[in-house]
Amino acid sequence: MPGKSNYLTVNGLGYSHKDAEKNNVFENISFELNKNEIVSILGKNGCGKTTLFNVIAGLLKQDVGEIIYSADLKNNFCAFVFQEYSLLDWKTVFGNVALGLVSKKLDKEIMRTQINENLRLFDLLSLKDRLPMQLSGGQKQRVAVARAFISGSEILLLDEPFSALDYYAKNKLEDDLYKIICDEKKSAILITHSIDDAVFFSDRILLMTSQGIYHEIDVKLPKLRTQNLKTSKKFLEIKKEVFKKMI
Amino acid sequence: MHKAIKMIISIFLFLFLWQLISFLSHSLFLPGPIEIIYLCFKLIITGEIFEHIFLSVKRVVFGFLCGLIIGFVVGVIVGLSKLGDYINPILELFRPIPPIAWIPLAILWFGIGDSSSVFIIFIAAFFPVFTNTFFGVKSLPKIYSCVSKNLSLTKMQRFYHVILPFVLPYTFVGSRVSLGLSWMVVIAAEMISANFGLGYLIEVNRSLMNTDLVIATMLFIGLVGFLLSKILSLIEKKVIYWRSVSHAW
Repeated sequence: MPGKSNYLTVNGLGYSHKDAEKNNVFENISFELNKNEIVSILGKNGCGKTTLFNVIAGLLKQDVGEIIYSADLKNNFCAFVFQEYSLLDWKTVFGNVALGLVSKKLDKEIMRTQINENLRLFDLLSLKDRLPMQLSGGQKQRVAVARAFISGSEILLLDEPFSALDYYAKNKLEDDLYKIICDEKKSAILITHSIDDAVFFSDRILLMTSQGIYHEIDVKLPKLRTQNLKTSKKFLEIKKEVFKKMI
Repeated sequence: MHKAIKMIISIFLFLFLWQLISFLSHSLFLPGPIEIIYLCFKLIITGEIFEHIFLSVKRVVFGFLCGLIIGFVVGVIVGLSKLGDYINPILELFRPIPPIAWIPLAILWFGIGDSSSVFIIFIAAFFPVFTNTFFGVKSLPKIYSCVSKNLSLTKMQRFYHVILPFVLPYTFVGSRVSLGLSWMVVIAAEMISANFGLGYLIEVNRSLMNTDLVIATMLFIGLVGFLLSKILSLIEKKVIYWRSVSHAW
């Protein structure tokens, strides 16, 4: 059973390709995600991080293991922010964010109010009538996160959301997203290749191979984080520790 | 040189060459452009041509719409379901058959008149729309399916918000081909199996050796075909509005 403050417990999860060779993508993955916690998963390319997210989000079915959601959660699902831009080209920013509420069948006026609040939160209100092709990479990713946020899930799965962004857009989105996740009391799991991003963004870092989670590092940094933190001594120490432990 | 000036020069050059060839040959083989333009105005003023245009356009629009709707629906169903593996080989067998090859069967089944022409136009319009729609459904990026599933969209919501808008540009590509084919086919069908229409007018005047009227009718066919294609382009621009939006970055 999950612990009292656990939102999500992943227990002995394993997945293999459904082809003739049945190659193992990953096995024996176990970890917990606590309430209001951000956990980063660091690992080599091909160790199955994205597939792990697909399994957690219910897009793929695991071969073994279980995913247990806490009874405290309002929704038993995780909102997924995909690595590639996943916006619908034919919908405006407003329409793309609204897609996160479509399944809820809310009253139109309530829906509009919620979307506008969400757009304000993500600093997208002035762009609400634009189509995705009229947005920069950073703005597109912001819309994708806003859509995941509005879907009502208390857990966000962030699959390398900063990887396609330039330095400035990445820093701005990191700062804003971190603040919003903390303010809105959400929990999140972040997949990343960047040790910097992992240390900046997380309360805990999990180091993963396809054989399982082999190391866990607590990130004891203040909750109020901005990019300046990346030059602090403590940040660099943790970064060094992660670097040493990485296989 | 300005584009419009170039266009005017090329038209005048074409008319001049036409007049020259016509002057050098017998007027029965190739009447001159002045004679044809005069005849066109005469046909417009007497209103005689409009009845034929109206009937041909009516057949095309009806047959084309039937082909468009059924081609789209079948394309989506075959693309989305496992039935595709059963239905697609049959459709692929019928696809290469030219629509005009259906004329004898159409006359046999529907007799001479509107129904047989509409049926042949339907055949012509169906396959390009079906093929392109089917291809569109099959090209749907996996990421969109993942997003739909993650946001818990129902099948209907997924169709309306994701599949339909994604597939529409493909369907429009097919419909442009369909419309062109339909317009070509209606003329051929009317030449054989109709008592009215532009194709019928060409056939009657051919048998009466009225070459000038045959050419005048051909010009009207070109003009109406061009207008129909423009109307479809306008509808396409309205429906697939996101394609005409300029990139801001």
